[in-house]
Amino acid sequence: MTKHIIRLLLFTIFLLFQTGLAKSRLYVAVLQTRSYTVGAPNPPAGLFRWEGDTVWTHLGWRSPRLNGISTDPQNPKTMLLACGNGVFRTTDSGQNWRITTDHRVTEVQDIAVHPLSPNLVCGATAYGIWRTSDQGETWLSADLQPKPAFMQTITADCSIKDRFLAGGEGGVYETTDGGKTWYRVAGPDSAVLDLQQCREHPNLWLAGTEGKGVFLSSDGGKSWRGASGPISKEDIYAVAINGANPHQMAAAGYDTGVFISSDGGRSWRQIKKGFSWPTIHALSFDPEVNGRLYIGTIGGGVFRSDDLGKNWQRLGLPGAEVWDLTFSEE
Amino acid sequence: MIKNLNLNHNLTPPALALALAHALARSLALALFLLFPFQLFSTPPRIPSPNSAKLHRAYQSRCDSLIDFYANRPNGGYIEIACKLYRGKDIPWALAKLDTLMQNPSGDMFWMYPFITVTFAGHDNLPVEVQKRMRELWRTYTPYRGDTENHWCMYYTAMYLITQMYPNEPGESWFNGRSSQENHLEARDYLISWMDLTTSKGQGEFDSPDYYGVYVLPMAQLYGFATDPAMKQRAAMMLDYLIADFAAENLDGLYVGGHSRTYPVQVLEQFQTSAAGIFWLLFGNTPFQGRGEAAIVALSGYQPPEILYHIATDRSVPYVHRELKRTRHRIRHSEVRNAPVYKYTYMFKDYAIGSLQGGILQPIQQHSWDVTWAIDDPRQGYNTLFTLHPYSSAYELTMYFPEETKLMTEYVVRSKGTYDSADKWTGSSPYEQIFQHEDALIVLYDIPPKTRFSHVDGFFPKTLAKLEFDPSKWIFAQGGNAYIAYYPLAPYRWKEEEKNWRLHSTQLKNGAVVQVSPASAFASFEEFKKAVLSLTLQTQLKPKPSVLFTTLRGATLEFAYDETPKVNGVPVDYQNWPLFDGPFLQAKAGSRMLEMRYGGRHRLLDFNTVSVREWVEAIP
Repeated sequence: MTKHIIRLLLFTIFLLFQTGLAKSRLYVAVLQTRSYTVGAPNPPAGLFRWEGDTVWTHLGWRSPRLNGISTDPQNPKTMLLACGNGVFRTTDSGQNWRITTDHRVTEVQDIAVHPLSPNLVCGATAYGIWRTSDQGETWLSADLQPKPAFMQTITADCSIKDRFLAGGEGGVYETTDGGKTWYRVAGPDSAVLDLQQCREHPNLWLAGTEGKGVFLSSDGGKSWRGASGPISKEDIYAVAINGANPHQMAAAGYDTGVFISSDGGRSWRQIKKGFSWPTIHALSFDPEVNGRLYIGTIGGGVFRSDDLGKNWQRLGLPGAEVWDLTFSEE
Repeated sequence: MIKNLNLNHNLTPPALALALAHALARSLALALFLLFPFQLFSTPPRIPSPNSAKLHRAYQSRCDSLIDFYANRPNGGYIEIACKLYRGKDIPWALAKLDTLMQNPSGDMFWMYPFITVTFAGHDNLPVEVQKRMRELWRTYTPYRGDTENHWCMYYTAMYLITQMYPNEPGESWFNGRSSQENHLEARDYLISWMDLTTSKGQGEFDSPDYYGVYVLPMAQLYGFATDPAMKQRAAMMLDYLIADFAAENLDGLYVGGHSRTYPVQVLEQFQTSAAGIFWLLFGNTPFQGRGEAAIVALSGYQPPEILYHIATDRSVPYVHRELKRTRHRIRHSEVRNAPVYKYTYMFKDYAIGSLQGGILQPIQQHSWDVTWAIDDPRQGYNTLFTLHPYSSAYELTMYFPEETKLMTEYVVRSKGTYDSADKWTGSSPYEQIFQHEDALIVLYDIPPKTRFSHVDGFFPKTLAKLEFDPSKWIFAQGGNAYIAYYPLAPYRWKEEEKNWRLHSTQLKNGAVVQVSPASAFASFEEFKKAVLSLTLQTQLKPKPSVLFTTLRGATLEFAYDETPKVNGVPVDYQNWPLFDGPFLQAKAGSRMLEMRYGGRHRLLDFNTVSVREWVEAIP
């Protein structure tokens, strides 16, 4: 009996410990109205944190062009935002913000803090890539070969120091020197719109492309193969891999609903039921609940499914265009 | 010269060397003065003439009346508040209205510029506690920087000026977390880089009758409110520059020819623009209209140099005027960030015809060419004729905007409702190519099959005094004192609309030849028609559109789609297209200089040295 009580006590302590240390919070980048125009009196837009049910808290700026969110995994109070007017940073969980960039950096499409050295941050912009090695105090333009005009997405390699992959008009680019120099890798022959790495299986990468669906890499992004079937002609804005079960993947884009793969990307089934907004710009698996999928729609807010798309629960933000969706440890 | 130099024996060697260098420079200047047959002035920059005082009084009177116009209005917004505070009139109303507006700021840079105007122009009548609340908004309201050149000019001008007013405050006291000094230096850096880019490669959002005001107003604010003499000087020079740019291409206050941006109403009624409103203030050469942008110029204390008045108003002699501009920043589908824009305008008192070379030079709102004729009252509008291919494509939009391709068109239509409309009157097309020589113009279209909106439209207003269809296919028209001949290259339908006829052609390979002439050049309209009918004209549409045409002035023009046009057998030299070239304005590409000329007078803006020089040629 004592043994059982001790075991139960230990298990409870373990659960509390786990919950206390690793609880993730969902953040989304939102344009709150479909009729937004520059200079107009627009409702709040920018960064929102999910509080549960359909309750959201707006943090910081009413930023109308928030494209990407990245947090410092070693200090989750620090968060960097990729915005139309530069890179914003908070070091106190969104209470205070600073634009870290000047007029040279604009139309920032995505941002990535390197988890192994969080001072190292790279931003994908409409004018190439910018990097900082002091978490945004100073920014330098990166050297890209060949030079593309437009970069859309960027992800830090969680397993290799100083390595990032980025995607844009010219395909997939790689850096291994902390973002100083970038080279194009053999990859999709189309604009790359999203790149995601499986944190638990770091050699596994997924890319969403313009007009050519999804591409998969199982060698850390060195080589890529495209998925076949109906998905292969779609504009895919967002991709995700379930860390707890890397055979489960999701992808979504322009008027696609959600594509789900349960066989490691070999086949994909399309789901358009359960939500009225078939264009989806952001999605993510829950890092704590195996198989739970969140999607951010263009015009309909956020939805969640616990059964890979059979049923959906609406999480609020009605009318919102959700540009990015990410989890950060509290 | 040495005798005039006050040599001080206590000078240190470097100071002595400097003094000697000055003496040598003065000697050189005097030598130049004696050697060359014109008078040389370095400063002051403005040479008075017999008309100067009269022009100055007239301008000042217009400034006063415009400020009064806004100060006397019973209601309104920030501009009315600024003018009332400036005049010391209706102060309780102004402060109450300001209090209301401050409760819910919105508009980003369109909030910043009028708020700055109130802050500075109305400063003396703003109670301290109101000033404190105004200051607090710069911490709590978060204006967006925007995504166009005019947005940035207004945004950074406001940041420059407000951080000048509050110079030593920490990042926590500003909406963007940056200190006064950081904001001020960044704003200064951007503004100077924009001035340098504009004066070397041209404006990106160039020659827009609608957006003209939102470049003039931030420069006027800098001129009026900046305390740094160097920035004030730069602002005055940029005002001169922007005004000169329009002055050479205005017909009674209307901005003629090709534009980067205009709107569906304004392309037909060119008076309804900020450019016309500002030119009424500056030169009085067009009827009055109340424009907030012009009021800011009036409040700034800026006065245009006299030479600009003459450039803006003297149309006694016809002239060709060329300009080099650039596209806005291209971010996709292009090897170059800013492609060159070649502008060509023929100006005369009775009409103007002007063009860009065609292609996608600006997204959404480009106006590639037109003929505009003078009318008694520019407010009436509909005194213009042009064609376009109403192109609508995410390809065009994603060249300039970062949003996803398939979302792009819908986003643009939110604010530019006619963009995806088949019968729109503004916009560029990658399948449109234009060549102009003097007052003759050839426009060619080669539209691929399955292109969205695969037709060409021509705008012919019902205000035309004459409109005749000749069996030869020439269409002859008269607008004001301009005779216009229009030869369509392909069959068309003639559709009547409320205020115009629409030449509508669904032929994919298409185009037109346009020849304009002063009515005074012919004894009658019939004589003009005869002269045009006798001109050499060879056209073909396949395999691609091409034209050979001998103009009324005797030049032989050859133009084939995708080929360099020729005048009298000589290809047009686009490589050496000047930044400004005409009888009134001269500037080389990359020079960061602009020379204005009129009747022996010269005024040189030199942004390399941030200086202005004026001189007058000795006229025999």
